[in-house]
Amino acid sequence: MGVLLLCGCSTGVGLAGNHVVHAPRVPSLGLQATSLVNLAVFSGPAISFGLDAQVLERLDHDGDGFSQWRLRTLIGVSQQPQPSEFFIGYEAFLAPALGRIYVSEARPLDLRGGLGVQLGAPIRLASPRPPWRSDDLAALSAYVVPWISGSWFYEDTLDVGAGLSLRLSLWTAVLP
Amino acid sequence: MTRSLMLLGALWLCACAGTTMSAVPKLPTLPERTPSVLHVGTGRAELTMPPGASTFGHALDSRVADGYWTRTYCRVFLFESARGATAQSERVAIIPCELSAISSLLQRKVAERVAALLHPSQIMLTAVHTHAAVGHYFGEGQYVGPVSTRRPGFDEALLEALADSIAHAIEAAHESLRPARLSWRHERDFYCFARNRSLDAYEQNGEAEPPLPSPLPPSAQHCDLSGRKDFRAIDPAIDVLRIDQVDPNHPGRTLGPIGSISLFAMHPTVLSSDNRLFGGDTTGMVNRHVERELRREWAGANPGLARCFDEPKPAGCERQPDPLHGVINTNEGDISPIWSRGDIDEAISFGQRLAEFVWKHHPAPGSGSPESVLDLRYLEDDVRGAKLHDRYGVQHETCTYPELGQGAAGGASDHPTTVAALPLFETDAPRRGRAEGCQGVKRPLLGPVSCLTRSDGAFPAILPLSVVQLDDTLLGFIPTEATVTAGRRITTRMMEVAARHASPATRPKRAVIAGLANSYIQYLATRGEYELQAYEGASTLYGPNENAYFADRMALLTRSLFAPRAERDPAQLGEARRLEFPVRGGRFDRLAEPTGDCVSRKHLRTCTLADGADAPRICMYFVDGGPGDVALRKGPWLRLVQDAQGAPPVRMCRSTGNLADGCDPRGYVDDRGHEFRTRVHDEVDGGYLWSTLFSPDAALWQELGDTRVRLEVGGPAKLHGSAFSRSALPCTCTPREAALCLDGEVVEPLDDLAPPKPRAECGD
Repeated sequence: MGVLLLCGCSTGVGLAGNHVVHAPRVPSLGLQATSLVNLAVFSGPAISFGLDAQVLERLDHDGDGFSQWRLRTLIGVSQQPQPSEFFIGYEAFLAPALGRIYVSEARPLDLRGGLGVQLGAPIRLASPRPPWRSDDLAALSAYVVPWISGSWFYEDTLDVGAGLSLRLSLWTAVLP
Repeated sequence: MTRSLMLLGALWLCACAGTTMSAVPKLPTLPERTPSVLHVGTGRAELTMPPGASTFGHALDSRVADGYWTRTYCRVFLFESARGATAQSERVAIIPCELSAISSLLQRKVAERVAALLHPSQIMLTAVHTHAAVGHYFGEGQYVGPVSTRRPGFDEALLEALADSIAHAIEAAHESLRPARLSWRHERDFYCFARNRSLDAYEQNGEAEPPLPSPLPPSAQHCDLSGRKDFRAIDPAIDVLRIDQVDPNHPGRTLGPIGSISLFAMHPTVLSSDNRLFGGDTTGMVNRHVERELRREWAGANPGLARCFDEPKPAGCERQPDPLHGVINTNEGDISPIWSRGDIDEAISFGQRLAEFVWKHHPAPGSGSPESVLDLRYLEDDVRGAKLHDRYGVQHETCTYPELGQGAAGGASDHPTTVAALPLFETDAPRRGRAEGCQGVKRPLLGPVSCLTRSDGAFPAILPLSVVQLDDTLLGFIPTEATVTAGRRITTRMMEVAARHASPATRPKRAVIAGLANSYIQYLATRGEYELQAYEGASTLYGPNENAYFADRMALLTRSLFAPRAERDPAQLGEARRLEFPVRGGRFDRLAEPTGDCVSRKHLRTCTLADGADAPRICMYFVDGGPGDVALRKGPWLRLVQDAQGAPPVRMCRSTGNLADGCDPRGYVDDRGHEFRTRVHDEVDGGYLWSTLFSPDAALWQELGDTRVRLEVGGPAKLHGSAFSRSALPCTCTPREAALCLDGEVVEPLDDLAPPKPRAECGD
């Protein structure tokens, strides 16, 4: 509870597109869900960490019945713009990952661990408000977040991704 | 490519680096101190900032300001020995400011600008502790980071703007130095304005019951002093220093007041945390009222020069007189005003009553000695793990790191924070755990996460401490809010040392704490108060020995003042050390910038607020530029003018009722007083919607008579509201208009606001 009092939380759902850059090259599309905890402990962007989950369907070869998935831990910084700020923010995460991913022709889908990065640009959907109208103790804000990612999976698989999320963010810093 | 990378790397390093203020070598000190004629100069520094920055003082409950009520100022009192000013002890600037606290970064920035005039050790910036002044100027992370206000952030442009203003005022004070006489008055009847808000903690000190004064002073008749212990458990001292100009050819003759400083122990905070208007709270009222009386006296002493108060300054006047009054808060840590509603009207009435009390306690003009002692000692000391000796000679240590305790979360008992509603942070003490480590029974506010607040630069660690002797009084400048008892223990030690070491000719009669000076480490509780871990104890950052530390160091400085010995005095006495602040320079848009946007300025409506106040209140709303574009920062921006050719400003006598007192020679009715409450609302077509609520008191309305007047907004072209008079008030405001002016409520689109209409069509 102490940690929750410190921070805001974000949850988002969206579309993800991934492309395994490997033989086989596998383009995929699917759904994504993200949940983040944002710690505004220092000035500037919040320290953010959370989970990102994707389920993906292969786009070629008649699909694979959403057999792929990615599960990533996101650790980084996130600047989600307040109503009095410029409407586009930024975020950058390091993403240790686990995925059921295409690794080779011989063993097309396998469970692999990996490491990646993700960059995003939260775009605030709410109308701008002057600072004296946006100093709530807690506030719910909606963002559209385009993101790109790149992950390297063991042994030699590069997975690049991009997506668009709709995120709801509860900002609160009820820190006594 | 390589050079580009190197440049990028250098820029990145610069961006990551904090702010460093260089060391300044000490000035020589004089071996002897003898009384001499002092020269005193004054200057006024405007601190009023545009809306959009946050107030400071209520932590997470500090709101973003949308306007201002009273303009906020620093008032510079520059004292100089007539012998010259090369040694440290020969010049000091005492600068009470209508701010919540002082940052050492601000003090050093000011010192940097006036380095040719003053050493950092000669600059005593103090804060009255209004919680309605601007923030964003601190060099320490905890004061500009998350939870410091609702809109945290360090803004370098704002810091530089404050420092520029104060520096210019010091220069003005230097240019206005003239021979002066200091007169002190020390009384102990400051009753029925304040109460002890932490009585449980106070009683931990195990001292005798706070006495009932006998005979009861006049002030004591205003409250139930005998029945309420919290009303008695205060510091009843009030000290007033009056400074009069003297005729250099006839030192016995005074030429009128230069200014005055009052010192008493009380938070000025009547206004609650949901206040959004910048202002000086009750001390703003005290300063204005006393300055009016000083002007009156000045004009009485210089009748031929009263015209020099005219604006603009008339020909033949060397400068415009501006006698100043500043308030210095003493040991107010656990002392709050006795308030009930917490709104501006109460701050006005309370402040007026307090102002009359302070004015009545001014010494008679020229009642002091023609010559005064001026001396000072200054030390920048690292408080972390500092060794000290208590009055019994036993050695202790402060804590090596700062930490807030859990009891700090709920705020003071009279202004609890939002989180005080949570069981974990309720304001009832105790909040202590087992005694562990240097912080003793303090339970860290953030639990294990509190280690984040222990890092260098989270809170100040190098503390500026000073003892200044001005005539017969020692002022102990400390960067903290000492409780009544903690402050008394410090001044007791100072006087004991003075009694032992000072020669009879220069022995002080009194020692007073000057709190919230030159830096800010929150509260200072005694060891007994600390054990309870109520709000003040939990906010004592460096552990249970902090009070003893301050007493030890102030005793050291006092001894050095009267019996300097190179082998015993700390080597760094008088030095300004190199200071590093983790906050990075940069613009975080807390200080609104000019946009240069094209604006269609226009008056929309002037209406009368029928809310049962003692006198009618006039609401005017208008379209003007954004907060960074309007001419708000240099007053006056809003004023009352006559409905006549050229719109001359209205000037009022503001009579005291005693004809002999004369009129206020300035007497303008504008936003340098307390009658205007001005705020911005929203962006509309053509600019921003602003409103101002003109709230004169009954006496001002009476004096106005039936003069037809208008409200005027300054700028490249003046903007005027509808004309009105006492017998022809504007139409009554609609409920939405009233809400606009009173609370700043969001108003519907401009089209819904009625255009001005003649009185005959009011239909009220």
